[in-house]
Order: sequence, then C-alpha cells, then structure tokens
Amino acid sequence: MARVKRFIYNSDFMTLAKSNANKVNVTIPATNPGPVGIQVGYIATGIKVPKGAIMRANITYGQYNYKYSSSEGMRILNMVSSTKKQHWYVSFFVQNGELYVSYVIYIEGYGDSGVLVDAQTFLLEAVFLYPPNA
Amino acid sequence: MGKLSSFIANSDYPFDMITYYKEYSVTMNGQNSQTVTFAHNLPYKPLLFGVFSKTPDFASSYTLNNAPLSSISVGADATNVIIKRTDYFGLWANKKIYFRLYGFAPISWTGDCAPTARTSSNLLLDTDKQYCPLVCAGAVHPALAGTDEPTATYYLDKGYTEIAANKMTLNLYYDDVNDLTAMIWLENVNTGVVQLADSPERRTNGGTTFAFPMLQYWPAYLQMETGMRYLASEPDYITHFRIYANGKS
Repeated sequence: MARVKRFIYNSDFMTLAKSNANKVNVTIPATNPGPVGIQVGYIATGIKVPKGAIMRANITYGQYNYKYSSSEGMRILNMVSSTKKQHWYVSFFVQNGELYVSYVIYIEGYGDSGVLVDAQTFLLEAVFLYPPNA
Repeated sequence: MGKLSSFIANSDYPFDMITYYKEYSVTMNGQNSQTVTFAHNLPYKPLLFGVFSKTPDFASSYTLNNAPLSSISVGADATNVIIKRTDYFGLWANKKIYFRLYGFAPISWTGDCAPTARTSSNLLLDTDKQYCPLVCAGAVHPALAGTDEPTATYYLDKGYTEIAANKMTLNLYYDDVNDLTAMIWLENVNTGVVQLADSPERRTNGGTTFAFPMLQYWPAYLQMETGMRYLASEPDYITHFRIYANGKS
C-alpha cells in the first residue's frame, strides 16, 4: 500500500493519458418544427473514439464567447424573441467507434406554426482520456 | 519555467493516480429508472468516473454521465458505489451492461491506497502516450452568499496546486487555458453522495438563482463557479475537481 500524495508517479497505480484531441465545427441544421414544436436528429462528427476511453468535450459557442466542459449533454439556450425560446439540447453517443452528436430542438411557449429554427454552429473539442496501464 | 507540453513528466506536477478500479456487469430490469449498489470497500468516498458498454469488449462504449432523458451515472457514498439508470427511451432496459469504473481519492485522503495498475502486458510509462499532469485538485464548499468574500484567485503555473476552500467562484490563472481539461464531481452534503458532474449549467428557479459547477474558459484564466447559495434551504454541495494539462505528445 502507498500514500499517493507522496509521489509524483507511482507505477502501482493507473494514471490517465490523453488521446485524440479533435476539433470539429458541428452545425445543427435549420429546421421547421411545425405544429409539434420539437425536432430531433443526429450528426456524424467523423471523430474516431478509442475503445473504452472517457470522453470530455469542450464546446465553444460563439454567442457566449466561452466554452463549457462536459462529458455528455449540455444545453445551448438561444433567445429568439421575447415570447419564444429556442432550445438546442446536445448530447453525444458512439456508434461503431465514431462519435455522433444528437440534438433535440424545442420551442418554449410554442403556439404558432411554421416557425423556422435557425441553424446553429458550435466548435466541438472532443478529448478522450484512458489509463494506458489498465 | 518551461511549458508542461514540452515534458513527458515534470516533477512540479504529479500524475494523478487512480486508486480504485472495478469491472462490473449487471442485467438491467425493464423499468425506465433503476439504482444498483455494491460496496466499494474503501475508507474514503471515491471520485468515480468510467465507461459502460453493452458488450464485454467495449467495442462501443459510453461515458458514465448524468445527462437527462437517457443516461447511466455513477456515484458513491461512504459505503457503496451507486449506479443510476435514467432511461426514458428504454435504451438499456433488460440488457446486460458492462462497466469499467475508475476512482480518485479526494484531496482530504492522506492514507494508504491499494495498487490499481494492471501491468502484465503494458508498459508502466509509455513515452508514446500523452500523459496528463495534474495541475490542480480541490474540494470547495461554498459558503452562504454574503457571509464571506465570494471569489478566490489562484495561479496554477507555479506547480501543483491543491485547493480546499469555501468560495463560490475560483479564478484559476494558467499560461494556456485552452490546454486544460477538467473533471468535476458534486457531493451532496445532505445525502452524502458524490458523483461526476456533467452538463454544468446555470439554472434559475423562480427568483432564486443557484449554479451548479460551471467552467468558463476566459483568455487568461479558467473560471469555476462552485455554487451560489442565498438560503440555507437551497441545495448544499461540495465541488471536487481535478484539472489536467497537456503533457508532451
């Protein structure tokens, strides 16, 4: 047994390495939710995901000029008018070793039909952490 | 001082050491929410993270998280590992799920830790990998608003920094903020459960604003908001965090 706080590195313990830092611009397309007021979809990012790695995602959303750090799932809120709010809820999943972005767009206080939701683009920086000596 | 990204290892900043590792599998029931627990047998509450998969080879795996609608999250209290499934889409119901769970000891733990490395076939330290030096680690329990100065400033380019504080906002200065990657856990003081915090976002409830941990990457510093409590009746959390830089790649 060892007291880890004594060591800069101790080979008895796993540590973390970083792999595949990827930056891609992701655009959620413009859409017309129609009378339901909700739209869902997914986008392939082209980012390959190492098997068993833990994902950390930094998202830069230009309107707010800073970025969030989240491993999965965050909300981007965009005010369209004083009576309507458009929410883009973004999350991630992996399929066949590739990272996908899934999104849900809904409108609060929806009462009209034919409302166009603008396209939204954010910069996704996907970082994967894993212990090489696992 | 040279940049951390110039070094495979730098004695001013330790490697963060994983002190808990568990491979686990369970067949989920048919409900859209479920809690599974098992003992972690540790003398501290581990800061857990990890991945899960529907196959034992983890060919497609998902980060354990707390995203709403459909997710599997992991947390711990003083005794147990707690796995929660929120599954409104039924993605994981009636399926056998495999887990790889990792954990850190909180900074308050100064005792011994059992080894976790499984190095039968892998290199102990592989210079082809980009390791993550630990720049900063901490546990912050914000005081009620108005009882103390709400903001503290730290300079992280002076070596590994450990923070135990009661501030609502931390301003963490670093040479290249974009080099930093953070992991954050929330410990609910009332329930005693600590779990990985995802989807950090500011929320407004009626006239009272409270913020779960949020990170904002400003040009010169990383700003961490650990909570904002105006009333003693509002949620009471301790924010545990680890911040890593890029080592030499």
